[in-house]
Order: sequence, then C-alpha cells, then structure tokens
Amino acid sequence: MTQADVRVLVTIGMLVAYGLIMPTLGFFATSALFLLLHMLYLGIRGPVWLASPIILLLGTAWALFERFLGVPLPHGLIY
Amino acid sequence: MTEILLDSAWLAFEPVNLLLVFVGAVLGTLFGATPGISATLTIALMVPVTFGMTPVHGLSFLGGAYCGAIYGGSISSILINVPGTPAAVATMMDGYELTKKGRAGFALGGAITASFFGGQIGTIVLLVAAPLVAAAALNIRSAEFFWIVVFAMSTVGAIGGGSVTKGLISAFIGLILGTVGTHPFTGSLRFTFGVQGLYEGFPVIVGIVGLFSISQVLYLCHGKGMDKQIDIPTVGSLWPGWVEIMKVKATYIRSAIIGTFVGVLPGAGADIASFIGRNEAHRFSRNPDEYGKGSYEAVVGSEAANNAVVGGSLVPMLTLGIPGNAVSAALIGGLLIHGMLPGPRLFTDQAHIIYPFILSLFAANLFFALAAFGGLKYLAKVVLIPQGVLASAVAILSVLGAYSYRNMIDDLWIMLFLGIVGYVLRRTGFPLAPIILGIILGPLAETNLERVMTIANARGMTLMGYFMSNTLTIVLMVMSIAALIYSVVREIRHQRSGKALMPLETD
Repeated sequence: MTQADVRVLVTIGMLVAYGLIMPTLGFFATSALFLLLHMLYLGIRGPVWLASPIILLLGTAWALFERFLGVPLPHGLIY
Repeated sequence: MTEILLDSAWLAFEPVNLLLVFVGAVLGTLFGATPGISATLTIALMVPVTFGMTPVHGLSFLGGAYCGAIYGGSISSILINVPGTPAAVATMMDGYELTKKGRAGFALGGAITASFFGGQIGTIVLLVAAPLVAAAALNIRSAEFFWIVVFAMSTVGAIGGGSVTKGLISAFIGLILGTVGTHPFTGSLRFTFGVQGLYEGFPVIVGIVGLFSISQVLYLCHGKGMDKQIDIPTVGSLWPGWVEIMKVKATYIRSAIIGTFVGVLPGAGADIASFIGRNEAHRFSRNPDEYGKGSYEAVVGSEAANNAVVGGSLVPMLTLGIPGNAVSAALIGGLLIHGMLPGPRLFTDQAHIIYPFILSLFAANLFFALAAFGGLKYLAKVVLIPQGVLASAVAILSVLGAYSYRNMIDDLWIMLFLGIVGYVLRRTGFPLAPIILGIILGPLAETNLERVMTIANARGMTLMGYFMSNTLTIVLMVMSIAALIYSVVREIRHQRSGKALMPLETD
C-alpha cells in the first residue's frame, strides 16, 4: 500500500464522517470543518489557500442556495 | 418553423439570458482550464445552480458552461503542458511545443478560433438535424426503439481508445445498475436494499456526481503538499491573423465535421474527437513533418473537433434521450430538474424551451472566444490552484450537487458508494462513460422491451418473430452486431500490431 492509497482511504473515511455528522451539525459548519481538516491533511499550508476555499465556496453556496434560489441546505446545531 | 425560431431568438438573446450564457461560458472556461476538472464534472457541479432559474435560463447557462469547459481545457494544455480536460490531451502535443518556442499566443489563438468555429458548425448541425430526427423519432415504435438503444450501447467500443472488452464490461455494469429501482411494469422494488433514495433507481445526477466527481476527488488526493512553483509563460498577441487561418481553412472545416459526427455517436466524446481530428489533419497535411514539433494546423485539428462535439452530442440526447457522451448525460440532469424528459416530444411540446437553448449556444461560442481574447491572462491563473485545495473543494461541490437535487441524505451515500466504485474501475482501466450510459439507457431499453413482449404475446408471436417482422428492426439488429464485430476485430488488430491505442480518459 503506497502513501497515495493511504490518502485515498483516509479521504473516504473523512467523507463517511462528513455524511454522519452533517445531519446534526448542519451543512455549513460540517463543510467548513471538512475543508479545513482535509486541506491540512493534504499538506496545504498558508492562510490564503486554507481560508479562500472556505470563504468563497461556502459564501457562494450560502448566497446562491439560501438567498437567491431559496433551496435551504440542512441546518444543524451551529447554523 | 420560422415563427418558432423568431420567437425563440427573442428568448435566447434577451439581456438576462445573454448575461447567464456569458457567466456560464466564463465559469465553464475557468473550470475547464483547471487541470483535474473535466467538462462532465463542470456540468454535474453546475446543474444544482440552475434550480431556481426558468428552464430557458438554466439550460442556456449550462450550455454556455459546456462550450466554455470544452474550450477551456486547451489553455492549460498549451501553457503548462497539463491537459485541463481529457478533450485537450491531443492539443497538448503541438500546443506546448509552440509555447516552448515562445509562441504561446499563436497556439492559444489557434485554439480559440478553432473552438469557436467548430462550436458554431456543431450548433448549426444541431439546429438543422435535431428537428428532423425528432420528427422521425415520433413514429418510432417500441421494437425499433429497443434496438436503437442496443445499437447505442454496442458502439461503446467501436471507436476510441481503451480496451473494447473493458468498455463493454463497463456498459454491462451500467445496465445492471440501471435495473435498480421500481420495476417499470409490475411496480415491484428491485435491489433497493430498503434504501428509499433508490426507489426511483439511481438518480442520474447523483450517479454522475458520484462516478465522476468523487472518483476525481480521490484521484486528486494522490499527491501531497503544495505543488511545485508553476510559471505561466508570457502569452503575447492572441490573434493568429487571417493569413494563418486561411492557410489551414480545410483543417478547420474537416475537424468541425468530424467532431460533430463523433459527438452524435454514443460512447464517444470530445476526447476521442480531438484525437481523430488531429490524426485526420495530419493525414491530409501539406506539412506532416511539423506535427509534434509545434504545428498550428495540429492545434486547429484537435480544437475544432472537440468543440464541434457539443452540438453533435446534443442531437441524440435531445431527440432520443440517448446521450452522445458523458457531458450530455450530465446535461440530462439539467433537463430533469425542470421536469423535462429528453425525447422527440421536447421539440413539439417544449419547443419554446428547446429552440432558445439551441440558439443560445451560438452566443456561448462567441462569449468564450471574446472572454479568452480579452482576459486570457486572468483565466489562466486557475492553473496555480494546488491539487489538494481542488480535491477538498470538489468534494464539497459534489455534496452540494448530489444533495440539493432531491434534498435526501440517502443521495450522499449513493454518491459516495458510486464514487468508490468509479475510482476502483478507473484505476483498473475501465471507462466510466459507458456506465452512466447504461444507467440512463437500461430502463429505456427495458420499458420498450416489456411493451414489445406484451404486443408480441397478444398477437401470438414469439419475441424474435415479432422483431423479424419489421425491416427497420432487422437493419438495427444487423448494425448492432456489425458494430460489435468491428470493435472486436479492431481490438485484435491493435493487440497484434502492439501499438498502443490512444490514451482514453472519461470526458
């Protein structure tokens, strides 16, 4: 098993955890947590690269789905 | 007819629609230019965005993204020698050679003009051919339709790169997945294992997001850390000049026609079209020695072909519900969320939606070309995004895409399951496009076959006897068998010659 295989398996594990936690914690909190941890795990460093996907992606998703389209995403304990 | 077209032009070219097509084309170009995000992924991830739009707006937006994504792949191929999409692999060979000689702008200009031209030719063919095919398709009966589907599935291995055997196995996996859900005639549930989300079968959009995006996320996780420093070369003037364009005008036209035709064939997409376009350009070229060393003609040959696929692939998708490639399969998702079923009835019952959509593709081709001529420097910046960031971001975009389709948590698990299946299959060399084809076409084939069996039974005929009583059915049967024999012969010949088949990726 190569290091790449390990990273694939850990990613699958993190996605499973995402699916288990999302209904209770809500889409936005879980996604922010996943993005941060997954990027850190893959060796992404530097505040710009770590913060911009979270802000851009979740910001756009919020504006688009919650405001513009009126398709509510699952909310939970934290938003 | 002219009346419909005039009314449709008003809807297609009104300001809001044009704005959405523009945004779609620019976003598509950006996604396409990003290595690791293919055109199929682009559409699959953008379908949920069109939820709240009117059908015309939503489809036009997706059409813009489709055209832009196919073009966008060439940007990173030419500039950094990494294909933005599988459709741009063929462009890389000569495009990057030109960049190494300091002529990146020349190659990029060739890609823009060729993509624009190819795209428009494909759209013209779509506009002319689709209504004719749709009119003919209204008279198609179940027996014939069943065999059209079988023929579509049997062409999976007939052209293109990968192993025929693996292509056909993929197609069968797709057909088996297509049996999941409510039986079309008896209403009993099959293979749902109590999962409510599977009662209606594998939802197309969730299937595509899972198979293509999640497997891609897992691929993107292979690497670790920040990428090495990437330098974007200076571009220079993009306009190649009329003299250069007219010198290879035959290539522009030939590749556009090839691309449209390949687009129509199920199971072959823009990736294969660009290789065939380049090969044919090479065969007819006056300067064949230049190929591989930085030929403008070669760039045109592949790029005109891959964008022509857009129009071609929509002909069977819109008129018969048989997608011409994986991207148009993802576009079916865009139709379904507006409650539209692809098929000949679209052109009669929903002409006021379909014709504006087709016309908007002309604008889409213009917009990605204008955006590229005007802002290539800025569009090219997407190649700097590290793979790890892409992997995480695409994962969340996939969740959004799969979940917002029906607001069901089950879809998340279906997506993840298919993602793992897709990843394993890709690593072992099985193509994914035939699987999605099988998931979509399996139920279509089954419904029609059941109907045929009922009719044959009522007339006291055997199923085969009923099939044999119709000339068109016999022709389709012979064509299906011929396509299979041709595929097998082609594979055996390639194995004997020991030559590698062209690299095949899912587009």
